[in-house]
This record gives sequence, structure tokens and C-alpha cells, in this order.
Amino acid sequence: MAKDQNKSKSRMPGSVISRRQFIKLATVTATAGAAPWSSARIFAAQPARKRVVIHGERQVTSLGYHNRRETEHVSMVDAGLVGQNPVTLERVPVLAEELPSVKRGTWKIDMQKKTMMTVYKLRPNLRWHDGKPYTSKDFEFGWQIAKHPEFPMPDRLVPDLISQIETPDDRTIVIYWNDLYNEAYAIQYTHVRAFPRHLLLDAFSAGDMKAFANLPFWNKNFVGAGPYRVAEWDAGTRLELEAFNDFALGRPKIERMTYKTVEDTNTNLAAVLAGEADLCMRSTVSFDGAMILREQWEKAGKGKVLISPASWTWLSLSRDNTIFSDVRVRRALLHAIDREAMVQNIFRGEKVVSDLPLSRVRKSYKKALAASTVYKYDPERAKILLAEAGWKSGPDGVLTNAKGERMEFEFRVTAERRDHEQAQAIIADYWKRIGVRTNIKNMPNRLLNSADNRNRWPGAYIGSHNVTVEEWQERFHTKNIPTAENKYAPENVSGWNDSKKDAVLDELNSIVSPARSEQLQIEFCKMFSAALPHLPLNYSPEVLVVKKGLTGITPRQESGGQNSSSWNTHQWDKV
Amino acid sequence: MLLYVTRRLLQLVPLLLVISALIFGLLYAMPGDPLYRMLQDIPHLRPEDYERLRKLYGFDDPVYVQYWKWLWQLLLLNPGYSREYGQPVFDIIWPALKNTLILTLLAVAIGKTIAILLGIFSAVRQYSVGDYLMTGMTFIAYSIPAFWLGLMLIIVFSVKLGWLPTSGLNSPEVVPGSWEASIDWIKHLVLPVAVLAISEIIQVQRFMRSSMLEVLRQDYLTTARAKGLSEGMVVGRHALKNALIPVVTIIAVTMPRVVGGSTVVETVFAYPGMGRLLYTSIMGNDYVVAMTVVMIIAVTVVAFNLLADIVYGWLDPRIRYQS
Repeated sequence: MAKDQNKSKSRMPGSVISRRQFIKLATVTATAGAAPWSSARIFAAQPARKRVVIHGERQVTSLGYHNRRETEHVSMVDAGLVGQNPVTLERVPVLAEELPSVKRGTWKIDMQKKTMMTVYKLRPNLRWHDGKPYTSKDFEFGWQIAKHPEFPMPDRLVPDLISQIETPDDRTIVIYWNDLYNEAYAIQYTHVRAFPRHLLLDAFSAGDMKAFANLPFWNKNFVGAGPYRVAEWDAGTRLELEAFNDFALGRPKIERMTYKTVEDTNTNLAAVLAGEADLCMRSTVSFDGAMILREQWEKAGKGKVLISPASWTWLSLSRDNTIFSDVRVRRALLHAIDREAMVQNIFRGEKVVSDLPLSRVRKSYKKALAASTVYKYDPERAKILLAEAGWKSGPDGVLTNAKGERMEFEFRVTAERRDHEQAQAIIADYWKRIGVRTNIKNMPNRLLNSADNRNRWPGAYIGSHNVTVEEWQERFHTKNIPTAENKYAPENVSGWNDSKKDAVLDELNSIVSPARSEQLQIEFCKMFSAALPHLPLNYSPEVLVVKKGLTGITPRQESGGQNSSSWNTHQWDKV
Repeated sequence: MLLYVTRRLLQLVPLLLVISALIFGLLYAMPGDPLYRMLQDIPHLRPEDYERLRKLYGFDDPVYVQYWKWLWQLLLLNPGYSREYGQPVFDIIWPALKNTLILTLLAVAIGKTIAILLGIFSAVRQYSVGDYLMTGMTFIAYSIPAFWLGLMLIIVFSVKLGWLPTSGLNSPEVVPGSWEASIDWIKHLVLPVAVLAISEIIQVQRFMRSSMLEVLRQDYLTTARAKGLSEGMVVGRHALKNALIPVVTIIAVTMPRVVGGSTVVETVFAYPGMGRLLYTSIMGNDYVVAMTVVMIIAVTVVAFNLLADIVYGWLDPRIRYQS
């Protein structure tokens, strides 16, 4: 009786359930409602026989042409006519049957008129992820999108070089070029790519390019022709991919891939140690983290830590500061740095000292190095060179010249780059020993790239960039020196101004034979080492962490838009 | 009361307008090129491309025009598209808000409840071993940064013990819709909720203790004890309500975090919530998203301040609102 009374007490007035039952029910309902269930996820996360979990530091924002996009993501879901092996740097046909060639008559060059024509033949029976046929018309449509003046495509170099595209049949693409372009035989998705006309033509024809650029097609509903199709996109934090049966180079061996964005490098390190991540993409685990993994994880046979010298770190002396205008000063400052010891200290045994802006995997590398001046650590030589340039030790030990100028300048690096900060401290100390005083003033990336600072600094700056030969034109040509007129946008930050070097770069950027290209590369490196527009420091190691059992991963040997470690995901396997 | 609330609500309009202008001005004044992140890996970029993009994204408009465009769109509850994701801003914010609400409400509910109970215990058992222990632990916890605590918990519970996942919202191999998925989801919440709850506990426990101590010394409680009421009745029925008044202020002040999330904790645990979204949108110069998130937090701050004032009246009969 008493129990019954208690029960009725706990029952809410007018209710058929007790308060306790109500709380239980509400909890269950809230849990069910809040739990991340949806029909899309049910589709996306079916248990698969072979699944790979990839951790990456960069968010998946766009898979299309515009906004911030990441080649590692796009390589998984889309493909171009041609791809690039990031180890051998060889161009390989992907959606095209073969590369156009002069011999076969599929690449015609008119050197006098400076025009070209390339013919690409698509592989038979190509399909989009939605099963619709992939045709030459789709490629032409992709070019039209890239060319549209109101479409926010950032890099229009290649689309603008194309004057016309003809599509005589569904598999043939005839491209007419309005200038010479040495990569015309290997058009990759980063240059121009096809987009599905059947899905986008109406929106494109409507003319509202703002609405067109913001279509969910570009990430959430992306339809490509790559090895994997997008099953789910979680506002940049997660990308769920499913193997595409009709991929041109064969069905991928791994059925599902999950790309997870984890910005914190320590969390990524923990995820590897906990066995949650099969692959950590570049920059996802720090170099120090990689060393921990080598000790604790690789030695235990749990996987591989792959470190490749992918990009190039240099020290640049301000193009506007007159104390650096004498090449002897630049040479002295490089002689004063023991780069071997510095690199040993920062990168713990990874031999990554660089003397040239050229990757060690390039065929021309050895000859270029032999032809170039190498600046060994030699503080005495540094002092002699500085004395020859008119710099003598002042009363406080700091060098001064006849004009009364002191060898004292600001030294900047990006505040978030730990390896750059370490190098900065070491270099400042080496320079101090020869009478050069530096004032350290580091800034976060966004401040360095503000209108006030972009691509210029008053003293010294340590930076990194891609080491690819294909980008030399942008990095070193006189026409690309940043100025107020061009809003400091171009990338020849050293201000290297030399017509002979420009002639080499121009020829290298035109149509030349591989042998001639090699000669030009050697010539350029020789000029570089003599002029020292940048003081070469080291190749920056890129870390890739691969769990045991995952095969086929090839770490890229050069950074740059066309090189990605995910270029061959269809060949990856998990055993 | 109704008149008072109406008057306060009307006062919020100019206040929110000033806040919106301040937020816009601060984000606009932030150093950095809004296009930088988009263009950082594109060496072929020509000056004309740069100018074209600035124009297309409206960055060449005067600041007041940009502000007005943004404010008008926000008033229409359509703040436009995220430049990073190319998606409507609210489509990006809602899932993050839902995730943050789950995380922070759980942390606040667990943390504040434990804090209030510990505060009462410390006050009632003042200068006992338990009180000293609690005080000591609170100070230790107070001096531990959240990111470090998060990493330590990951190392212990994920790496060493393997009980809990390191990050994210769910495991890819779990079939959604199943009980396994619910358990997996709860497992993903345990560590971030624990870190946030600990920070809630250390904030409120000390306040609750001192507030309760003050109330316990009041004459009306001596009277209650003299009337023969048990200590439990004295504390639970008569002291607690009054002791909670200053704590309500603290809770109201911390409530915006429920909506804003915790950038540090969400980043360490790769939890797709509002804090992480705010961080990535600021770093990515995705101003429309960043400004909308900050405005939502601002609205929450003023709303909870109003709510706290109303709750005072309910908790303390001496407070009366005059119109």
C-alpha cells in the first residue's frame, strides 16, 4: 500500500507515466536525437572489408577549382587527363590514353607564331561517379568555367594560354594554345579539368557565378572521375569516401577511406600510437613527433615513418637593404653558417642540407651541384670577404663600413614554424661570432602576409617554398619581383635581377628537349650559386606516417601543386 | 516584470548594433590578407588574378559598405556563404552549434552539479581533511592548462589503456543507427566532457563554498536549528537557495561558453564544434562565418545576463523589478 502511494506520488499529475519513467524516456530520446545518426551516415559508414583512416591537418574545404583546395584531397576524388608520379616526377596518362607527342603528331608546335596544338584521346568508357559518361565536352566545359571572368578561379595561367578547344567526338580533345607552354603535353587537374556538364550546365548557363561558385556540388555533392567518390562531407572535418568501380585505372583495392581533419599534431601523434590512424598525411605529425614514433612505434614494427626532403628552406636578405647588395657580403654570411651542424641539430641526423633550389631527385642534380659554388662553413673566409667588402669590426665588436653603417638588421621568421625559429637562433649566434648583430622580430603567418609585410622584410628572413623547376620562373624571374605596383604579389622575393638568368628561365619555360632542359637547369644553378639571391639552408623534411599493413604509399620527393602522395590511391592496399 | 523584461529587450537592440560594429571593426582590422590562405600554394598567381579575386569577393568595397552588406544579410537571417566552404553560413554553423551544445551542456551540468555539491561539502565540513583535500585539488586543477590536461587524458585513456578514442565524434567503422554507434559516440564525448567539466568544477566550487559559509552564519539558520530542524534540512532547504544567488551570476557569466564552445578543447580533441569553427574561420580569414559565430556568442552573453537578472528575482524575494 505504502509502495503504491509512493508510486502515485512520483507520478506527474494527469500523467500516465511516473516522473522516473519520464526522465528515463527523456534521456533515451535525447541521446537518440543527439547521437550523430542520419540516413547519409548509414550509407557512408557501412562496415567495409578494407578501410583506411587518414589523418590530415588541412580541412577539406573545396574539391573544385576555387576556394582553398588541397591537392591531396582532390587526387582522391578526381583525376586529370594526366597525373604525376611524385617520386620519379614522370607524367603519366590517367584519363587520357597517352601523352601528346611531337613524334606522333599529337603535339604540333609553331615556334615562329608561338602557337601550339595538342590532341588528347580519352580512354574508352570513362564514367563520372554518378555513372554518366565522361566525354570530351565535359573537359571543354571545365575550361569554360575556369575562363569565366566572374568565376573565382585563382590560378588562370593555363586556361588563359588555351585559345580554343575542339571536341570532334566524345573521346577527342583538341587544344589550341595561344603561346608556347612546355607542360602542354601533360595537362593535369591542377591546370584544367573536366566537370560534369549534365549536373552543372544549367547553373552555369544561368549566369549567376556567385551562386554557381557556392553550389554544394563543389564539396558536399561532388561528382568527379577519381578513384573514390564522396559518400559524405562533414563541413571540412571529415570526408567519407567509397571506392569507384569504374575508375579509369581500375577499381581501388581499398573499399572505403575516411579522411579526418585533426589540426593538433600531438593528438595525431596519440592517434598513431593508439592505432586509430592508418596514415598521417604531410604536416600532420611534427618532425619531433616523427622522431618519437621512430623510437616507440616503428622499432616495435607497428608501421613506417617516411621522411622526404620535399620543400626548400632558404634565408633571404632584403632586396631593399643596401648592406646586402654586395655579393661578397651574402657569400660571407653563408660561409659563416655551419649548416651541417645546424641541420644535424634540428633534424637529428636527417641529411638535408641544400646548396641549390633543385631537388636531389632531379636528373640534373649531380651535374648542377658539381658546376655550382658550394659555400662550406668557413668563418675565417667569411671575415675576409666582409673585410674586402669594406666591413671592419667596430668598438662594440659589430662590423661597420666607411659610411658608418652597422652590420645590424632585423631577423624574421614565421612565429609558428618551430624549425625556422630553431634555425634562426643558431644562425644569429653564428653571425654574432663574425660581428653581425641581428634583432629578432618574428610574426605569425597572417601578419607576415598582411599588406604591410607581404613578400618584403627589412633584414633577413627564413622562408620555405616548393623546390620544383617548373616554379623557377615565378620564384626567380625579374618580371616577378614584388613591387608596390603589383601589390607585392609576385614571388621573386630576393629581387634577383639579371637578364642572363632571365634568358635561361625563358628558354627553360619554352619548348626544349629534355637534354637541353637539363643543361639549362645546370646553367641556372651555377648562376644561382654565384649570385646567391637566397642563402640556401636545407630541404624541409615532410613526414608521412604509415601503419603496418598499408601498402603502396609513395612519399612525394618534391613539394608543389602537382605532387601529391595520394596520386595513386587506387593502388593502395591493406593487408 | 513584463514591462521590465520588455524594456531590457529594447535596450538590447542598440547594444547589439554597437557590438556588431565592434566585432566587424575588430575582425576587419585584424592583420592579414583575407585571400592569403586561398592563394598561398599558388605560385602562378598574377597581380591581375589577385585584383580580380578581391573584386569578386567584395574586398575592394569601402569598410562601411562591407559592414552594411553583412549586417543587412544577418538581419535577414541569411548571412551569406562561407568563403572557405562555399556553403551557407548557417549550414556550417548549425551542426557545429549542435555538437558544442551537447558537449558543453553535459560538461556544465556535470561540472556545476559536482562543484555545488563539493562546495556545500567543503562549507559544511569547513577545515576538515576533506575540505583541505578539496581546496588543494581545486588549486592543482586550476593551474593545469586545458590543452595539457586533454593530452594527458588522451595518453592515459587512449594510448596506454586503449579505452577511449583520441578524437572526433565517431569511429568510421561503426554502423550508424546501432546501439554500438551510441556507445561509440558517448565514448568520444567522455574525454572532452571530462576536461571541460573539471574546469567548470574549479570555477564554481570555491564560490559555492564561500557563499554557503556566509549563509550558514546567518541568524535565520540558527533559528531553524533551534527549532529542531535536522542539519540536512537546514542546509538543503534553507541555506542552499540563498547560497546559490552569487553562484547564479557565475553560472550566467560562463553560459556563453555553452554556445561558443571551447576552442582549445575542441581543437585538441578534433571535436567539430563552435570553438573549433571560430578558430578555423578566423585563421582562414572566413570573416562571414567568424562574425556570425561571434555575434551568436554576443547575443548569448546579453541574453544570459538578462536571464540572470530575472532568476535573481525568483531566488531572492527581496529583489523586485520596478517598471
